[in-house]
Amino acid sequence: MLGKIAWKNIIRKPLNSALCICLLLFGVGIISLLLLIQDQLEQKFSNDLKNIDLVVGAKGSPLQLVLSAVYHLDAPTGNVKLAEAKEIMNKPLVKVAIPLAYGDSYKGYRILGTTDSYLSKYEAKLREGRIFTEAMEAVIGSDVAARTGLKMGDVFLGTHGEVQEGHVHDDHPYTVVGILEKSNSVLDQLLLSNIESVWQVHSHHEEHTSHVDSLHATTLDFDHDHENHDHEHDHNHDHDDHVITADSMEITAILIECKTKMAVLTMPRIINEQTNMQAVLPALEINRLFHMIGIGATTMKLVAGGIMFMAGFSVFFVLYNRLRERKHELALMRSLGYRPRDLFLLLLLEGLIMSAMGFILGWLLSRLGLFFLNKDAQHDFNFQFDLGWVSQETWLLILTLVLGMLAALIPAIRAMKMEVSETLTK
Amino acid sequence: MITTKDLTYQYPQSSKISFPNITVHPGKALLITGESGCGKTTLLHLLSGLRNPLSGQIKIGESAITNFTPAKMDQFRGSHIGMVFQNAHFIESLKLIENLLLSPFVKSREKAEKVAKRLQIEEFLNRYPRELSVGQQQRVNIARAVMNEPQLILADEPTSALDNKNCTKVIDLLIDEAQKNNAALIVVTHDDRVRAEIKETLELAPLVL
Repeated sequence: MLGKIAWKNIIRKPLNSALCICLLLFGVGIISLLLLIQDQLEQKFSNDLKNIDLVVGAKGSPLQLVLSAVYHLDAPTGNVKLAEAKEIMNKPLVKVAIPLAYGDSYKGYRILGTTDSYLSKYEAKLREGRIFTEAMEAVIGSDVAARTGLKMGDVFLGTHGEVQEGHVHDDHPYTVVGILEKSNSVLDQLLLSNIESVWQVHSHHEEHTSHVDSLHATTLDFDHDHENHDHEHDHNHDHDDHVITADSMEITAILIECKTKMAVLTMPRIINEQTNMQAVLPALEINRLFHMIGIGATTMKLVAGGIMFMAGFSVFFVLYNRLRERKHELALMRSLGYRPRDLFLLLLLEGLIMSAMGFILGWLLSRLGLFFLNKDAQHDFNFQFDLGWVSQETWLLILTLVLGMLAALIPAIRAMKMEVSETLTK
Repeated sequence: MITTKDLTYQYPQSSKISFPNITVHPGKALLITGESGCGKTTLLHLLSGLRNPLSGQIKIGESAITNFTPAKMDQFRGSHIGMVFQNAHFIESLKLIENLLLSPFVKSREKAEKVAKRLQIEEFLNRYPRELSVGQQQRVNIARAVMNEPQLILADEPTSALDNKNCTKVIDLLIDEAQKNNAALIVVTHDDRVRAEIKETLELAPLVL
């Protein structure tokens, strides 16, 4: 019965209640949205980091190198000579080294030349087909497949650069030989091939504009491969030979996992001092990035906290003001057998219901906001936000309910201590 | 049955009031009259346990209510006493049927419908209190006072806001309901129109300052 009375009282003065609920709604909505975004972005970023200790690439902005090589969100800092890269990859402290070559895209999705160790690093599973074994064979991520409509056996052309309007490498089509299962990692957004494919595409391109002999040799070598592609073993042999000999070729970055923690700290110093490459600790760079984002998020949270605080006050004012017009009702309830603590509970319940409504509506608002953000997030972060419950929202819920109860506390105490006899004689 | 013995009450910074002893048997009615300010309502609030006497005893049935804690008194009042006020108070946001069922000691919805029928208010049950006339409101008030099948019904100026026709009707219904519930009825009023209906009368002496 108390719950029913509380509910009826709230909906009887819809404007007053609506003001309280609106303030709560916006406060909760903003905080919830921030929690969702921050939480999931951080999770997403640390997920994709796997156990990459170091990223090595051309000198430039360290953050840009990490964003481009690990997250594929930025343009590369430049290329490095394969000979120099190999020197680092073969160091005894290196456990796993994955070379990356990129720069082209297909319909805005990056084409990444790498080795199968990249796939195993992200624990990729094939939904269809097989992994690339030869040049110009591509394995595509699940989102790419879904958005571009590429299917097994389809042929596509890479576009130079990251924008869709760039130069099209129409003389070197890729063939889809495999489609990956959704992994909620960067893989979903990539088209993967071997490094030779990327070289082939570009060396041809450069050859047209006239260039180095060794490049020409590599290209011929690959053409030769194509002709003998049924000889699997031969091919692999050729391929290895080629990697060893094509030292003047370039790659874009190397992802490195070190054998020891010590190596993670010493290797960057050596590389940065002794080569014209840079080595970056991606975890450090990403922490720096989140620290910068965090300042903005904290400001927003403060604003939202202020709104929540005002919401608490408005709940207080509404309940306190209504106490005067309701005192006859409350006295009546006492005369009908309700105890003082029942009236206390009634008022508390009203605060609680309003804050619960504010929370629910605010929660829905944040989901609605995220739904619209998701449309852009796909493009900006290669990422879709999950609309589910974030663990910190449990705290937000508790906080909101406590706020509602605190706001109702003083009116509730007043209701409890009311002089029934005097109220009834007035 | 209700009996009082040597009841006194004192307002802060005011002189002491002594009340005559009262006994009302089940099914009987007592009219308490007197000028304004002679302590009629105070006496009624003492009888309902809303105020505590300075000294003296009140027994309702077998219970000496003067010894009750406030919370126990609220519960006792809810289960054993029905109250009718001068201005019918309602929870404005609840329909009349919900107002009738408001008390935690209401026996059943069927009881509410039966009483509503007797008082000819069943057609209003799904309306809100402010949609009713004062006379209709007072009838709902009477219905609510008997919802808990009380031993004692206390009515404070139940007719003063009503015209003659409604006054007689309301007081008749009140007496009738008290008898049907076998409850003792005490009506406090300065309304002379009630004298014709209730034979037993107690006139309180004006307060001597």
